[in-house]
Amino acid sequence: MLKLLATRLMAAIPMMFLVATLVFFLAQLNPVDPAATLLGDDASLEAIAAKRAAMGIDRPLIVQYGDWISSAVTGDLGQNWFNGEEITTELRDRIPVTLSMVFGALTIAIIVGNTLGISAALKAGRWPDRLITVVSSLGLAVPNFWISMVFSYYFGVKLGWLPAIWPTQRPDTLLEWLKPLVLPCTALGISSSAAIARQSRSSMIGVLQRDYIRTALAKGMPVRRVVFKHAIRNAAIPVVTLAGFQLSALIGGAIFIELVFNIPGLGNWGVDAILRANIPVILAFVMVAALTVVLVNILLDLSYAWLNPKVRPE
Amino acid sequence: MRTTKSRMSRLLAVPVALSMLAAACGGSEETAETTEPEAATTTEARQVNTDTGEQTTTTVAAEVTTTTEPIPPASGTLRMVEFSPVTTFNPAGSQTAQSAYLYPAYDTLTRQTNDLTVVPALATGWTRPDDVTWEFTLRDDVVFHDGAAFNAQVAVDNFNYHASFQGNPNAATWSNMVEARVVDDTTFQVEFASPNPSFPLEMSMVMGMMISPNFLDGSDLTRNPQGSGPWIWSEEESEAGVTEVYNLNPEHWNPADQGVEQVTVTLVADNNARMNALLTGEADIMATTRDAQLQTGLDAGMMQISVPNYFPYVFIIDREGDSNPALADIRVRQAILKAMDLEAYNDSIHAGKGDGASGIFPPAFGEFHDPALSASTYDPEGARALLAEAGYGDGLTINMPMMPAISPHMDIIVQMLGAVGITVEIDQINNGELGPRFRSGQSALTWNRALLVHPAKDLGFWIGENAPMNPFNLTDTNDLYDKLQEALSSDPDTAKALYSEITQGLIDMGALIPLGHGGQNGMYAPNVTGVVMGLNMQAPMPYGVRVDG
Repeated sequence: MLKLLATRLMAAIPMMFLVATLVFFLAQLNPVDPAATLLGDDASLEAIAAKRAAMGIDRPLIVQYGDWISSAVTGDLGQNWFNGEEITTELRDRIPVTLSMVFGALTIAIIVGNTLGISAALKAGRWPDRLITVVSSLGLAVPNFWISMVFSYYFGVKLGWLPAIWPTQRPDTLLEWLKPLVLPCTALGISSSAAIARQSRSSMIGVLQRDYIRTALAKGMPVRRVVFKHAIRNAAIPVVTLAGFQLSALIGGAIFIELVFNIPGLGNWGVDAILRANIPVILAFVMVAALTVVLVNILLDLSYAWLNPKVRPE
Repeated sequence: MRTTKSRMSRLLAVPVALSMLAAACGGSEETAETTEPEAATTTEARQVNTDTGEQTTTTVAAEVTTTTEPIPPASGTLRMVEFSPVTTFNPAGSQTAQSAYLYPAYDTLTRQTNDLTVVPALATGWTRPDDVTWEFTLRDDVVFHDGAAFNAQVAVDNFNYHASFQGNPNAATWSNMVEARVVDDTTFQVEFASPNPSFPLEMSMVMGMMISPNFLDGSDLTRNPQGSGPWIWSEEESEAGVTEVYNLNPEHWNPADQGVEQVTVTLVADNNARMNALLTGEADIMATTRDAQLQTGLDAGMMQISVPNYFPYVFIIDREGDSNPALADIRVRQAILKAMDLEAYNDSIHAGKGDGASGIFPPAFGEFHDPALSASTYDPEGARALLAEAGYGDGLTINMPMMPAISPHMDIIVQMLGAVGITVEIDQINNGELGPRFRSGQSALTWNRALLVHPAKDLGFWIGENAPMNPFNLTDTNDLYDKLQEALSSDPDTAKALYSEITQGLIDMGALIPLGHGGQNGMYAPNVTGVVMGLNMQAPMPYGVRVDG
């Protein structure tokens, strides 16, 4: 397992370098002039030119790239052009927020999705199965940003049960910090729950039709024991794969959810950066997203090896 | 200024303004104690009309306020939610859109009240010794957050700093400054190349924010506000791009400004989320409220504050027809004017909350508003007839730039022009590119908007050979420019008549096509009092605001 981990981590280094280079040059294709955006509509052309020079974006692209990549490898990702803050400081503040939301949503998705999927599989072909299938289809069809807007207004504004927006004053306790995450995590987790439920159902139905399960049932082993002791582990492999992919999707979905609930995470930060061509932030945002996906894939590989000894390296 | 739902804010504005005046001219003794009942205090303030008529050292004696009321101590937190993030705490590099982040930490030379009057702040009075010079008298009890004292030399140094700051969004104002000079410790003069009657008004905006002299040497103020304002920015409690936190400045010269102990300004970029923050009690003041959102807030019992200075328009830049020969024909330009249904535009863009009137200055700008210019110019039949007369009876195609932020405006303009036979080809650009696009002469005509301040500023943007909106250096507005110069040195009545003539001239020549007026809106919770918002502010000021309960 350690060898597998080491191999994957080594492969990640050139991949991240490639991503960094690609993203740097792709980001330059953004036609928005950050200097003009920074100074606003009333700024003169001379003021904009002066600002471009001050920001160093009038230099040749290759020089800018050299500066950025040489600093980045030392951990210096530069400053946010639009507020002067160190990028690393902003990452430190924002990553925990987004990851809390994403992992919260994933937890909801795994619990709800598997519960629904296994329940549907055990009642395959009957009305609970059909109901869960319809609900899952709806969950997949409805965009999570729309769900989040409905949740924010209905549960947050109209009923006042939970915060409709991230608190404007820094939360003091863990509970205060978690409370505003409930609606966003739920909204974000719905489509993943649906996806996992569908995968879990079909996977479990497949496993339940295997000979060893039928034998166990024929021998009089209780259904609950058969499912939880024998079936679930084998049915879990495709579900784990899907959950891994869902994690990447959840990071993408978090962008919209953060806007609706004004959550100060990476999504809000990244969208604002893209709209204003805030290149240092775009680069950091994409690098973090890429790194997360790479790490998730490594974890997936490790989990396969744990679940199925056949795929472990020699 | 218009407030809706309650007259309370209007009534409260009077004592707030008076207390501001009183505090502005009071000595340090009377402001030092905030918790003790005050002895009877008599203060006198001077208020100078910003228009050109008051050229001599005319000063208007303001209310003489005698009070035995103690100033209630600051209490609680004022939580504001803002549309845009702060890009810098340096007033010399800051846009109006971000002023809400700077007001708590900086004092301005002057301030505005809800009736758009300019009143004293760091400057206790100002006069105009001649057409091109303003003289300001300053308080002598102001101390910056870093302990440095404020005086005339500091004010002059601030002006020179603003004028030389690379990338200053307000460079146009400062480039007109010839010299700032100290008269004595509390008096200085500033001289311009041409008359600048709106300068005292501008000194109530980011341009008038005074920076500590210890930070005028090129120090980085991006995340380091160094003013003398009622609250001191807290680096520890603030988070860039999320929330900025300001705590009470115990040394501030005017405790009446300090209604709350703490001010927070939080970025909430999404319009619905900002409204939700207000409705759920997560915010006390919501800056930048869209017209279409106002009713939602009002229905929930929130209060509205609006400054009706949002002036959208279409400007025909290439009037010699270099890029589109049709635009050289005045009949075509006037057809475009007649095609614009301002009522429909108002309904579509301002949710019916605007005025749908022609002209530049709406009634709130009493001294510049001319009702004769407000009449509707909408005449689609007339537009078609003019086009036919000009030889475009079978239709005409024009090209206009559109960035995503203005697409609602452009959508309705395209429809209205299409209805009279003018096809608009859209030149899709990115947000932030509209200004550079028309300034560099790449657009023959464009939609744009002005946040009206004063005719000297606003008209100067369109007319004259070197105006920002005249990249082709056309000479057809030169006579209007001469009239503007004449107005800047005239008495108010003459100036007003000249401003009207200029406006009418711009409309008649088919250069300026007014699209009505809207408001810069904010909303606040009913337990918030003392809310004041002025021109060129996209959020109310925190001075004197109290949050009860």
